[in-house]
Amino acid sequence: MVLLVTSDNEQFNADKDVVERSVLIKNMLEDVGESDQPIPLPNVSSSVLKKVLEYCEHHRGEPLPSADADQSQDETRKRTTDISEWDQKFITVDQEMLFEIILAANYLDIKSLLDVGCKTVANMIKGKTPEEIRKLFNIVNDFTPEEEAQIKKENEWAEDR
Amino acid sequence: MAFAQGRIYCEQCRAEVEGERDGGTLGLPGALKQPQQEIPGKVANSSPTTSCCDPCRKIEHLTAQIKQAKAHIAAQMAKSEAHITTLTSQLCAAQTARNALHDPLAQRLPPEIVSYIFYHACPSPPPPSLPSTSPQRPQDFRYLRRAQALVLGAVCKSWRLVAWNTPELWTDVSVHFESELRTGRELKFMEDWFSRSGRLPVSLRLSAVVDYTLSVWGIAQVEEQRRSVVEAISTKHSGRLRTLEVTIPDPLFWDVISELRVGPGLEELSIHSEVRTGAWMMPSLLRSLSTSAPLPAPRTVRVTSVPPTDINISWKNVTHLELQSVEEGACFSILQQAPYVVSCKFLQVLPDSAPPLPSNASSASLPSPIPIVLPCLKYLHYSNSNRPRAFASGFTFPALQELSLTVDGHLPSASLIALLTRSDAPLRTLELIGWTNDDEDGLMGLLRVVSSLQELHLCPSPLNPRGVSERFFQAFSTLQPKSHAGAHDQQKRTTTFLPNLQKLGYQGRVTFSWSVLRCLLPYASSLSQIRGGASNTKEGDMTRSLHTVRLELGMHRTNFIDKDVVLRLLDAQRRFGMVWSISPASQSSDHGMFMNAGDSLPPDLLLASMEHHQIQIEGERDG
Repeated sequence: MVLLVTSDNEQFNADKDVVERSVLIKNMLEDVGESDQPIPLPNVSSSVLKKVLEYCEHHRGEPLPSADADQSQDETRKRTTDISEWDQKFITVDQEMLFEIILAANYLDIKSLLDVGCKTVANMIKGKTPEEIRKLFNIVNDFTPEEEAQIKKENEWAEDR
Repeated sequence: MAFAQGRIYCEQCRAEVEGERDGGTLGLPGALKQPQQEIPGKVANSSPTTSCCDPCRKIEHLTAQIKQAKAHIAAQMAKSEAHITTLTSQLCAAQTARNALHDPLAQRLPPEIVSYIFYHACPSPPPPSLPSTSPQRPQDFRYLRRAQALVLGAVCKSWRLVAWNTPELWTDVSVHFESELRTGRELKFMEDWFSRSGRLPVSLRLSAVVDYTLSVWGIAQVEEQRRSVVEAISTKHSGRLRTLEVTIPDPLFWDVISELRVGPGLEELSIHSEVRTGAWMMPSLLRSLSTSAPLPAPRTVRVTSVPPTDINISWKNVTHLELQSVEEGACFSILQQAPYVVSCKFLQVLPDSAPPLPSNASSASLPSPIPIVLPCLKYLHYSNSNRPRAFASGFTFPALQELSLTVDGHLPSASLIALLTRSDAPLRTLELIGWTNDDEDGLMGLLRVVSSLQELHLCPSPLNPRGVSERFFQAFSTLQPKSHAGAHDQQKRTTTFLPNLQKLGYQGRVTFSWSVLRCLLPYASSLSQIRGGASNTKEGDMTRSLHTVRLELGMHRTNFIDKDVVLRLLDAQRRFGMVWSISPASQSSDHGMFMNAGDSLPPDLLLASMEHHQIQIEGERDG
């Protein structure tokens, strides 16, 4: 078992083969060797780590993408926007949690979880107009009139082809 | 008319003014006399003393006031505009600051993650192996990619910054030449896109429209501008071109395109002409980067209405080939130069404009007497050939899995039998379309040599007097019992007509009685009933793998399927999951036209026959 300590000082016990889906933790464990020392995760809160561990637990035993994975495999993984049914259900969370999970996956270096998060956000963006995207993410239009004119021109140019 | 000495005249209107001469105020309104005409050439010292009449003075006064008011407003507006500009820039800054607090993507996530999200938000390119006509291949995916990239860059400043620094979003460049007014802009935007795509391989689409309103000078100018775009691509970006798609509407564009230089990295090439162009009027297309550089050797090539032999590429790496409206000799010639071709579509093949000279035979316009082996070819579609015999005798395709042949005339059954026997290929799908002759023996002979067939689609020409007759369906009644399978399975199965067939499609005339459909059923009782003999096997004891039958029939009137046949078909559907689709051939069908009785025919003949015979499916009746 491995003891993880979150940014809000909560402690989590998890199986080694579960937490080792995180390349960061795996490397840390390899560096410190057999030890009871807790692993601090200052960039991950307890609520997020709980979700991350749920994901790792579900995907326990699945092959990890190796560093020397062939390029075409990596390309295929990158190209597809398909998300498995379980992953889709897992990632159905509020926007705040979704971005926290992405940040945590990035920090902990869990490629597959990062993929799920990024593809989910990408799917939210797909097919929407700039205004709809702004509304979705609470963004305002901060372009100057000159920039707006430039965008309009470029859109017109791209429209006919 | 002369000015009278000692009188006062208005400076503006030259009317005589009554009043004091020495600067006294003129009463308003002043009394005017007849306006005086100016006398050309009159000397200044002889001109009478002048002043302004009251109305002119008033006009002058009001004009000055208006001018002053306008100047004041202009000054105020300039001041206000400057103020608005300041406020606007402050507003933009405040909005940017607000986004810095609230934008969950650009402000919270590292830029490389946002780039990755943007990359996934754009449609992915379909695999190059997917045929261009495949419904899975979105025709406009490149347009969608470009549009999505622009959308991402139009959300806010931070998104624009990330989007513009994500080269993967800008790898689909399209230049569409419309008229001389827009071409200058094309060059600028094209350069922007190339620059944003960094050093990544790029897909370039060049297209143009003909502007018939242009003068000769205008045409020359357009050509010059097109040339400047092509030159810019050739000199700066040709090494990065991975996909090149050129659509050419007018021969004027040929000269321009012939100047295009392409690097050896080109993987996919499409050249489409809207006007069929003879070899005599066209320069050689595409040039390699330099004379010492190898020729581009793309893997996928699609050409429409352009002699492919004039395209300056190497064909040796081509695996996916699609030639449309191209002469037959050119098709053969290219096929001989593409030893690794896997998928090949020759659509609307044209007859050769000039018969090849005998001495030219070895120069590849005709297949050589010894068939050429194409060991990788799996999928072959060939349509509208007037020389299918020559085609069938010129090649051997040992890996052929799918053959679709549209003939414009007689079915070359003997040549096809020879081709398929010679190839000994594991053919899975066969589609025969458009033959006009009544050659049932030939057709049956051909089908007997393709025992590996899993899908068969037959669509004789509407001009064909017979189409497919009862004999074809009855051939399916030769079926080996399951109990005989085993050690001698292979030997027994050879006597079965198309033993591996899973899907059968027929589009054509109804030249058979409905009862023969029972021959397609997968069990014995139906066969014994047709033959009128007793079956010595139990129902369900025999089986064949046929599970889908689609019939599109050209009919003159509603001809309901016989009741007992309907019951059999439904039984096979229920027990074996067999799929039956029987419908009148639509007039808009791809491969022919039948004289159907218009819209009055039911779209699903099986369903209509069930209703006609008042047959209900068990589940429905129970319900």
